[in-house]
Amino acid sequence: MPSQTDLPQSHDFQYISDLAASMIVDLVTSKPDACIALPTGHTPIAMYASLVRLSRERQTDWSSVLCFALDDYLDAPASATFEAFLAQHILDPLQIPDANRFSPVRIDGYDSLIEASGGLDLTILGIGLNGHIAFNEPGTPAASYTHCVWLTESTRLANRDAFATLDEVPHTGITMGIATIQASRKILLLAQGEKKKAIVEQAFKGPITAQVPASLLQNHSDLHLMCDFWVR
Amino acid sequence: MAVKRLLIKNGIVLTPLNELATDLYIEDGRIQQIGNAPVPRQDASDLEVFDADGGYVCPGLIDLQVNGGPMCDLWQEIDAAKLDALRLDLAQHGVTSFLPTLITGPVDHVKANLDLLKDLGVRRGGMHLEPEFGRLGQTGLARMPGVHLEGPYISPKRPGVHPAANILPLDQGEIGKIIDAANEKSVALMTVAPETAANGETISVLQKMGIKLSAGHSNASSQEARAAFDAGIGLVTHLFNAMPPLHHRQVGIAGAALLDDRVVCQLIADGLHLSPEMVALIYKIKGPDSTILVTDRAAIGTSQGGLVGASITLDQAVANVVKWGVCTFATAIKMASYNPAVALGLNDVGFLAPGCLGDIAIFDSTSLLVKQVFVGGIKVQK
Repeated sequence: MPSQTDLPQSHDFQYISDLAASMIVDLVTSKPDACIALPTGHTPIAMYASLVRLSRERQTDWSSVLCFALDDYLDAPASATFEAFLAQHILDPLQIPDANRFSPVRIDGYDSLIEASGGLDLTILGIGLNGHIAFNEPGTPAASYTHCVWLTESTRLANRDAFATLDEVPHTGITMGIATIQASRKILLLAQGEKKKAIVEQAFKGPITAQVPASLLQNHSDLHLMCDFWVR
Repeated sequence: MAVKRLLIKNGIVLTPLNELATDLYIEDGRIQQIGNAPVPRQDASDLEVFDADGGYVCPGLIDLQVNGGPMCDLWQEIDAAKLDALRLDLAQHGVTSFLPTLITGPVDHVKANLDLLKDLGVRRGGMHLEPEFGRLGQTGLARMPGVHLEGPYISPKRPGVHPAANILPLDQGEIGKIIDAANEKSVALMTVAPETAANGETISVLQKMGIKLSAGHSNASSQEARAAFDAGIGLVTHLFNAMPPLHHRQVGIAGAALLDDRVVCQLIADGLHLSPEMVALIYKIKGPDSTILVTDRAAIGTSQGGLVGASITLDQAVANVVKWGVCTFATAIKMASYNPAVALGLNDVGFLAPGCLGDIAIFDSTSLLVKQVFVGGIKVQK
């Protein structure tokens, strides 16, 4: 793990979120037309709130930043899509122009578009209890690009909150592949809560295996692991 | 009748992170444009143009602690009419959002009032408030993005005027007597004495419900306070009031809160709860980002010489800190709008930018008195 150990780890997730937001604002300040891949889920919510606040306070210009959703459902009602989530938590508050919002649901050739846009400068990730990143479930090969997936039960359960019943949680999604994410120049992986500790340790201290998708990122040259627990 | 589109001209817009001499345009309850570009459909009859006449165009103020006023006592029986009278009164003072605050009382009474406030439309905002939030209608009343439960989970050693007999320990069982699945989403903020928590889990149970916690009415030592801040409690309720005073060998929760950069302090800047010098001292340490002005306004101002809430409104607290030379007007506005919005995690109030709600307080640039207020672009009647 080249660059992970130098990163502060703290028990205070607000601090972690603020720190991540500050790194993102620094990136956008130095590169106003950056390409950024954005996650959905419980973990990034505090970071997004912090990012909105910091951007306002530092008057960060987001008007040229290209925002790529990491993944989305294929069979969800509009209000439950990740597109709607990202609009609510980050894209609308930062006033990202519609022309700079991208979702794999709406675009064929997502990888080509990302490449044509200069490649991802930053990918922000969470991690699933089974080690998934975006919707790349265990078994996804390292050489995968944007593709459609059947969601595992563990992922559907983790996303259950947004739906009235488990039955309503979508079964299919579309996601950037491991290779798409691996090609990002910088990766921030956020993990919150002791319940993620075991999988984070397995992914980043254990063997590199497609059975733990996040472990495939171990050799990335600019990976920042940010969690509110200590990783041994 | 559709709500008119609103153009505020000739004002100085305090976002409040910036100061801009420019126009501000509101449509459908939200700010659409800040700048002097022509507004869409300039000549239409549904456009109201308001001349700010050089006044400061500020985000509507947000008061995290309001126990009532002469027209409505939130500790007694509440009804919709009294509450609306309070909402109008606050809006007239530039307060476009506030947290109705319930103090310690018999469990049944607190729960009944919480349930009633829930039924009257008080609910916690997510990242965003609906334009119609809190039965706004077209009436121009202050919004209520959640209840502040100031008790009964406080320290029996620091009750202030709260009835000591009704104080409860901070544990899951006792919390369940007041907060249930039905009203949980109406509670935005809770003042708790963290040192009375039964165990570490109690704090995280409340945090997982999405309730922001503020340490107050607390007898915590500095060590106990630091543990609470480490557990993610990032706010302190009316700093110095209802807590041990700063002692040079025992700095207590007040000293710990001043020292810890993660902690945002709420102050009652009425000149009675805190002297002007103490407000200046706190501001010198906490700075413009970690200070929030609140009123703790109540139906009654004093009881047998003791302080029971305050009798000021938030616009007066803003004027006070400017008058005392503590900070600039723009910073005072920030401490009474932007900072409380950040503390509640609200994105679209407390700040003026396209997409934010059209909640505006316009202050006279010389007298610093509220001249006109808009809630969701609707003019508040005087």
